[in-house]
Amino acid sequence: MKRKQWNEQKGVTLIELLAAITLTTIVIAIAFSALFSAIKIYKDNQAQARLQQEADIILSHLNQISEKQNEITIRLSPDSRTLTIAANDDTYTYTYDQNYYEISINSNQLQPGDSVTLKTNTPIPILLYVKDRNLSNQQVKVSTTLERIH
Amino acid sequence: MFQCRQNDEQGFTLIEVLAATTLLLIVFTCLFGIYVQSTAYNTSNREKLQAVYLAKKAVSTLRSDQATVPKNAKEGDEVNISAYNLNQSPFEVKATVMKRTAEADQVQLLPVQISVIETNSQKILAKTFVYLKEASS
Repeated sequence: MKRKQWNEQKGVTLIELLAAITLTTIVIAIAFSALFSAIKIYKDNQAQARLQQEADIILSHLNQISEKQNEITIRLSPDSRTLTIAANDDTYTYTYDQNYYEISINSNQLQPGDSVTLKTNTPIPILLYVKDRNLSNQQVKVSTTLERIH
Repeated sequence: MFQCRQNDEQGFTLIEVLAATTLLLIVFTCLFGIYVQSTAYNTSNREKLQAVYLAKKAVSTLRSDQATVPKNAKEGDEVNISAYNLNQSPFEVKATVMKRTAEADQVQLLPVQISVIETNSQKILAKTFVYLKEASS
């Protein structure tokens, strides 16, 4: 009885099987390419948002300090991955594995490992780059001037 | 019995499978829109950040370089500030004379609005203002 039923099964032909495999492959390829580009966009967005927030907080601290203090020291670590802003009693350190910083003051770029002390009684033109180490196309560039409101 | 039922199954037709795939793709496309949106928001946030700080720079530069407004400038007149090299791709900085105030007039100052505009879309991203001296001649 069992045997008979087994033999009655028709199964699928090779052509049908190939057609099914082809269709499945196409569908999976489309789904995966969508998934991978979503992952890429997600990573880019995440990096971009991180760099923006970093630039924003650095500049707002620089503004705060330059309003309060007479002198401000900016230091860049030799690997460019740590930026330190120091004044009398305030010290802010920015560091993140994936970020590196470039900062120009009065059109002079601060070299890695160097530090510069600035007087805040005159306006200080600043150009700040926050870049991502791994995604070379991700960077935030902000150009501004630190100035005391008299 | 069980075997019998298995043989009764008809499976899906190609049309059904295609319809299901199409529906799935539509859903995927909708979800994908979220990423596109978040990219757009990121870009606009970054531009706003840059524009606000650029406006601050413009105000500071105009004040420290003692920029002046042409004599008898009226409200709405544009002040030429191209000499100060404030434009920075993709932004341009514009200065427009604002309404005179009695207090500012006493010290020969005019309120000037500084706007930072995105060049392609001509959208104003940041606005601030500064008091500038009126040129004597």
